[in-house]
Amino acid sequence: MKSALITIMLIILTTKVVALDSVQNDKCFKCHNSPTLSVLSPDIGYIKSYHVDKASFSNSNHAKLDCIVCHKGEYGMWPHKNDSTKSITCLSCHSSGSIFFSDKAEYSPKKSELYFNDIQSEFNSSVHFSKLGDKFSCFSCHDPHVFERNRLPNFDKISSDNAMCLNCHTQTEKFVSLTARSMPDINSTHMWLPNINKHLATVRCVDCHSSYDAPNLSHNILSKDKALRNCENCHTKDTKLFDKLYRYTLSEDRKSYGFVNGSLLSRAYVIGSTRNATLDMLSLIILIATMSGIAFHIILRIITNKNKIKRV
Amino acid sequence: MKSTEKFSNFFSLLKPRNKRAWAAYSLIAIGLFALLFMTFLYNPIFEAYTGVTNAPLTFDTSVELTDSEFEALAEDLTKELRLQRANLAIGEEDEFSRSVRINSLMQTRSYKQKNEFSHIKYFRDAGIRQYEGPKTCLQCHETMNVRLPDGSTKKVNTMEDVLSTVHFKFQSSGDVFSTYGYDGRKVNEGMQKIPVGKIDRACGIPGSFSWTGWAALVETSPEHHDENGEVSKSSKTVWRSEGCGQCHIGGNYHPATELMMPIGDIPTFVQDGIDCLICHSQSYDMNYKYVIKDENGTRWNQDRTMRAALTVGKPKNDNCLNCHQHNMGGDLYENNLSAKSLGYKNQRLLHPGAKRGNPFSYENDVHYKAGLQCTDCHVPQGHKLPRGTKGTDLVSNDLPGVEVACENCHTDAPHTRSKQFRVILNGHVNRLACETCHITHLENKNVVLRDWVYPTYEKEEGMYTPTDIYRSGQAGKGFTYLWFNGNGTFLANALGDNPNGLGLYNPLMNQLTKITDPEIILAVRTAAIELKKQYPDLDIDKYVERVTNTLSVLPPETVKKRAEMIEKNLRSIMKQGKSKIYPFKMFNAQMYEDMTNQGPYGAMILPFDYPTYYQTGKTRNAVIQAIQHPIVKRMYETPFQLYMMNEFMYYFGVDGWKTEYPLKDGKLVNVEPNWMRQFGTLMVNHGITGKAFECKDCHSPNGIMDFEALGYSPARVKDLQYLEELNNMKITDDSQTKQKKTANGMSKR
Repeated sequence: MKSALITIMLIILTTKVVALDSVQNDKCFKCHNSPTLSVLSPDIGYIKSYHVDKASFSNSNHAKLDCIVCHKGEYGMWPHKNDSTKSITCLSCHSSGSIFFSDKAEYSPKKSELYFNDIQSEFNSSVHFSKLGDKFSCFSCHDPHVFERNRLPNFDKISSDNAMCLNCHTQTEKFVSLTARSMPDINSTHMWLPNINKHLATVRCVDCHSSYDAPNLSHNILSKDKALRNCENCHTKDTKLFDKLYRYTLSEDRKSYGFVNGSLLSRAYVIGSTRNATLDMLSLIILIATMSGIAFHIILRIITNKNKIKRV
Repeated sequence: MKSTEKFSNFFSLLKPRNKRAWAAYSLIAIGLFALLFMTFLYNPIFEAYTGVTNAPLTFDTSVELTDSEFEALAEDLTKELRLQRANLAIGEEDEFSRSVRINSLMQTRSYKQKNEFSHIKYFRDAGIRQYEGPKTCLQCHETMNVRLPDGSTKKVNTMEDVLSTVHFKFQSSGDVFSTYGYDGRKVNEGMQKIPVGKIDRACGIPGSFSWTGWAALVETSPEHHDENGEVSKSSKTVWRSEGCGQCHIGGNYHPATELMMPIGDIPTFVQDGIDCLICHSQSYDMNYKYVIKDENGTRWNQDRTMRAALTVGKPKNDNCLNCHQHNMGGDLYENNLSAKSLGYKNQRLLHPGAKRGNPFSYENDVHYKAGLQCTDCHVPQGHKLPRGTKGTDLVSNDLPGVEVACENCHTDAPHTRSKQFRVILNGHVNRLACETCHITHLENKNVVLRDWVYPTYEKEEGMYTPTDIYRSGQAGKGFTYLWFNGNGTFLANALGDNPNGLGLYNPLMNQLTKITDPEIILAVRTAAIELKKQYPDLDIDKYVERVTNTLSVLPPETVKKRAEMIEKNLRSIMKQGKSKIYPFKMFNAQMYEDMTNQGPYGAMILPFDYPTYYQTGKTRNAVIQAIQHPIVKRMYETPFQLYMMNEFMYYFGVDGWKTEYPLKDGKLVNVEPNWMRQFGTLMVNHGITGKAFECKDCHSPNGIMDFEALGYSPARVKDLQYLEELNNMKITDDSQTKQKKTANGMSKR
């Protein structure tokens, strides 16, 4: 068994994760493709799912990996003897020094996306890690079975992005079992936001709740008192939003609409931020000119009317 | 003078002056005529046309008590209740100290207040000393508040509410069925709505339909044993009660026939026949349920005693089971309480083969044992009860959208006990219904094949009964497994499809038309050999062939048309929604069919007259007698053809209704005995066991589940039959041993 694993590892190393259409995985999916493969166990208090959707997995970045590459141990046959999921983290592969990126491996900017070292260090200073430690891992938010690298942030994905957070922050059983404290009602804690629904639909949780310090990868989740609360942080010319989600979407919009139109037609419209000083001035001048024109016209009418009355 | 002027003015106002006025006057005239017609003429015409009888209904059991009799009865009932509850409350000790404690508990003030029948006081205060049916109840309960699922309440007229239920109507003209015609149309979804339900649904199990088999008195001559053990035929005949009406709350001479017609309503005096107490009384005596005969015909008697009336309350399990254990556990099921009270006279006939064979009882159902009430799952809205959204048969439903399902209480991850198995068991929930594993057997008396055409003489009962060719409660024999998405066909076949999309699953051409189990074939042959002793003309080989290959009676082109109709009309319905594997009780019967109205799925089944059938065993005569009922004759006439029969037959997979009456000069014309062209499949949802089937019960080469027939690919079939994983299993699970220990502890206690 172990030698088989090593061989698979070696194949992966040499082929740098290329096509390895897996018969082995089909064996796993016989059971794990069932949406109800789950359990309500007393130690966690909520239904824990062991379901991996075959279709989503085959669209994910990890589609070409054999299940047992990550799920080491004797998973050849049910019932499974040991559970090794806890020993595996994203860093096991996605870090310098891992089997993928040995010190000798060449560094390239393209490949840098696959190094999660920075993400890990950001995460290590987050409130999730400092408060929950080992109870919290990459997998608490990210499901490696459905993870798509090409799924870059955009406005259509805001809700699915936030769903990652809400998965715990709206589910009492999960939250309580993880933190051992009562769940704050996030609806009431966010009531102070004006036009709240618009905010929730267009801004990601992490846009306010993660640090903007370099490397600014949105994985340093801050405690609630450190979150952005000042309107001016976003609703200003140098909006902070452009440092995270909006930075990317704006550049995408500019690509498709052209630079000037990109600014005007961009979906990244933030009150107080999306502005062009010259245009603002110009429209002010036009407004004043129009108003004074109307006023002048009215005065003239009044004067001429008086003349008419006198004639009669 | 002035006043006369006024009058003439008034009349001149009434004189029609223009076309509009004429129209108004004629409308008023038509309205008046319609009113007169409905009040005085409709009912006699209706009765003459349908041949049913209506008359004011009285019951001998309704007797007026004196005040002292009332008090004595009240005390008696209260004592009974308190003793019953004290018996449950006081644990097992030696008999003497137990009785002392029970006695002292029964004297306790708070215990006395807590344990009494509320209506004793109400009746006492209101001076009610006689129970006269709905009239008595409605004095206080003229209206009632119905709690709706959204938490709001609605005030309704109680009698109207009862009259609108399936328990009274036995039918519905609405789009309330999960049933599809073989023509691919959902029943009553289209423009033309027809009344369907128990009232007019020909069914092989009772062998009759509601008008011809409503309330029959059958004369039997049972053998009797004298003291020397000698058996002799009794010279004295015994009258027995039989018929569909025993489970109807109406108490009338016929089912709610009025509601089948486009106009007309139940006459007020007939509403007095409704049996409130059979559902609401805690001490209803089923011994009063027998057929009575008066100058207007036969009908079913009721318990209208004050004893029953004083114990009214919300319906409990025993109330529902008064009737419904008959179709679940069956009449011969040992814990069927109402089957132990057969009648003070004209005792009811017990049906030997069970319709579903899945009892709801303390002994056989884990939910009953846990103290659940029927109404915990079938949550009523007023008098309307939900049946659930799934169903194969044409039984009407009061609350069609309301779900009655395991998932209403259990989660998608219901298995929690065994650490080793719970995850994989929960994984099965995606493909298997709970019932599939948690109904491990039906009653042995569960009837699978019933022959009405060749009855057998029962010496002990002194009458002829249909011959049950095969009965079984075993998985894979008495019931089978099919894909099911909640839909059924017009002749009760479960619809669904294997989600693998291979198109290999086709039960209406395969497993529902053929018997391949050698054990069942042998049983059929043995039964045929036995029948040949009574019926020498019977061809055994042909008989076995017709039972085990039901399509063999159809010409090849009809079989081809049948297969095409399935793909064209039913396949899309089979693919609807989410299919899971469910257990289904299988049923087929040989009956007489009107072959003029035949299609690829069967022909119109003809009913039997019960007394003729049971007394003489002459089955053709029983059909001749039954189809002379006026309503059957009307069925074979143009008005009924246009009103409902054409539509009925389209659903049946037949191209319209042919009105050639199958009886000419006292002889049956183009009527032949036939088995149904496919098994009927009935849902089984009760008789749930905590200890379910185990892996190897299905996952083995001779498992209870026929994976090939369920439409799996040959490779997958092999895979499912020879699961490697089963060899690795160690049944040393800690929680299981713990469970065993507690079970032992319980039994010791």
